[in-house]
Amino acid sequence: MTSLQPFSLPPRWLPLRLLLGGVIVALVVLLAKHQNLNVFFSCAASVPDFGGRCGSSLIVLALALSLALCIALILGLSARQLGPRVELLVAVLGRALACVPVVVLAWGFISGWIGRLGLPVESLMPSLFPDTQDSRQVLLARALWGFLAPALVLALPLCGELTHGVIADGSATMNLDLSLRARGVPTGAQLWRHHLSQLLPLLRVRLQSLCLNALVYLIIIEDALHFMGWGDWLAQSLRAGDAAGVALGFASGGVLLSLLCAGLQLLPGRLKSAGGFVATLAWQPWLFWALGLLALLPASSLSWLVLWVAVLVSGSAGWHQTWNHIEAELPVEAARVFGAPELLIWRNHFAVVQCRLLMAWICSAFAHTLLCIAAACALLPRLVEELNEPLAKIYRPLAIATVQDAAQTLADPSALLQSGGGIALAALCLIQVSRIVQPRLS
Amino acid sequence: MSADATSPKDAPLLCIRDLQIEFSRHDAEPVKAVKGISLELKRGESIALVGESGSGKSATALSFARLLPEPPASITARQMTLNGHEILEMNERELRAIRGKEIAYIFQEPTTSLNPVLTIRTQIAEALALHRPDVSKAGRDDEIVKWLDKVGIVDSRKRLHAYPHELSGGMQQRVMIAMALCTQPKLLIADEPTTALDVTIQKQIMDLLAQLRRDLDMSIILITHNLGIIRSVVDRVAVMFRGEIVETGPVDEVIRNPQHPYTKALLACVPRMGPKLPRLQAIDYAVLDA
Repeated sequence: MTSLQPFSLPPRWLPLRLLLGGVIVALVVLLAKHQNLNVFFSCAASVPDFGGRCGSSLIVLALALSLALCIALILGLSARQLGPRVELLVAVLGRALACVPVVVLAWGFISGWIGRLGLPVESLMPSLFPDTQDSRQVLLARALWGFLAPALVLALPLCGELTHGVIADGSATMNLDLSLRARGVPTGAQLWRHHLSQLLPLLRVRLQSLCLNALVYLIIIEDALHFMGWGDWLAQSLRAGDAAGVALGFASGGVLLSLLCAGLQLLPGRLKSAGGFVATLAWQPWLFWALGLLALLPASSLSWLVLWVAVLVSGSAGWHQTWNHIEAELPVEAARVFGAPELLIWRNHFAVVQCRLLMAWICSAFAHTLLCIAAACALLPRLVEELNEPLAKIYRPLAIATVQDAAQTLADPSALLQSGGGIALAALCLIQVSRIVQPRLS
Repeated sequence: MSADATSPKDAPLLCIRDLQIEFSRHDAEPVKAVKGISLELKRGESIALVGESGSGKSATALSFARLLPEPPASITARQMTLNGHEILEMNERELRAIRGKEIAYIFQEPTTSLNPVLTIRTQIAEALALHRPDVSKAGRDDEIVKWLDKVGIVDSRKRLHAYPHELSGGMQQRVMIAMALCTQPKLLIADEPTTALDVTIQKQIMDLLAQLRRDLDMSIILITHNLGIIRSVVDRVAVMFRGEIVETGPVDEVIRNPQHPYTKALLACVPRMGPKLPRLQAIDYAVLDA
């Protein structure tokens, strides 16, 4: 459940598509459950301060994305200055951080911050100030820390993915070093002005693709921290299997994504939009939708198929665009000129590339499936029982559903850390193998 | 770093004695790319470094502003002065101050020298901001337009806000020349400036360099493997072969009466218009090695 898959260009009018996608899926859920729009609106009206919750979550998402982008840029660009070995190390560490299940990060934060350091988290333990201490500074500080805690936790996986993005996309930009040095441009300007200006259009797309997954991360984090946001409410609706709540979640999630992506359009630089059915389909929050559907479907081992299909569809644009690029650029003109039949050309030139791409795709899909199961188990603990026993044993510590589970995890987080570490390591290894076998054109 | 104070008017602009450049390799002996060349260039004088690929001409030219990455490159010389400054004794900050200001470069491929996401104006303005403090912020646009006009870009004011991909290869190279010249360098190094361009544009660019050289009275070092294009631009030619200068002299004399077998072979490779001649010759390295 990361954006560590190949880079893909978004379709045109992405914010509008995300908004429409959310509304359409919400309507489909209502129709499938034979409920009308009145139920939907009454559900929205029954949630206390629903708009405020959405606004809070939007602020957390925006804060987390900004933090992650700043840290990733500092890490990625500093690593670039320190040489290719440091760059490689930082990129692998970034991918490793992105592979840690978000529920582990959230509970790890609670355990470390409150349990070990004894510091407060406003949403979990609201402090009671005397009436005299109601100055603006105190209120502002409490509000700021209230938002900052979930934003910091959310920034961790996003930062991992963006650090990978800054380094991976950095190698795709034009190397102007010699020309800039010859003009006497200082090193700082080379990096921040010339390299970053080329990088920003690519990072904007990365950020937009991150938003699709960040929605799921947000639900898990807000649920763990009991932050009064959209994600906390949706986590409860998902656990309750409330169809109207899930439909409202899909529609409001579409609005949140649409707003975020529209905000990101303000970043400088434009890339060509991707046309075609695959990009249109893939650039939707499939993992978020899959979790909603899993909450509504009856318990069955087949329900994992929904999640797997979501993994395949969400990564399809990147793999499709990578293959199209390789197919267009693969130098087979010489073979065609001497009259080689298409079958021979395919066997000698395309088959190897296709096999490697297929292997890379399989590894990546497996890695993302592992992480998606972790997210699903964190939000819908009943799904753990649908896994076979060895897998259930690994994923059970991530399913923290009751107060007893939470207390047990905080008292002894080793089971959570072992389980999360194992999943992260497996996912990282699979992603690394995927990157190694993935064919690239120079 | 007190530029002209240390260098009298009649002193050479560039003076190189026994320049050697080596590239270290992992688990192997270093490669000697340049084997002790000496070169002197007077103010306003121009020279062409001619030779085949791998003869060391680009490495030599890049070493004048210490642009080769050190390591793996290692540059040594008994003397290497530019406008009175000892290049090999300069630190990175001092080098940055002379790069672009006293010694400017034009590279082979303009598309890989211009930032694709910044406008022409932004990129030339950056050069002016770095090396021409006398040009005020408000006057930068006029200065850029002046230089774009000088290098023959039509509708220059409109082109200010163009991105590199909106210009042809020849136009991009003209922008590169404008960017190199707007800082009024004393020495311009053109490293195969026409190789990536088609033949008609090659002629235009060479004519432009010749004219600018006359107008601005600057020195040019032209690096090329094509002896046929240098006559209008440079006064002297130095022929490089395997890291050494094997022949040097006034351009007309070297072309008319080459002394070294490699120069003869190089000239024999240049295709000529006119009556049909025997098959175009290739360089016979066995003869040169003998």
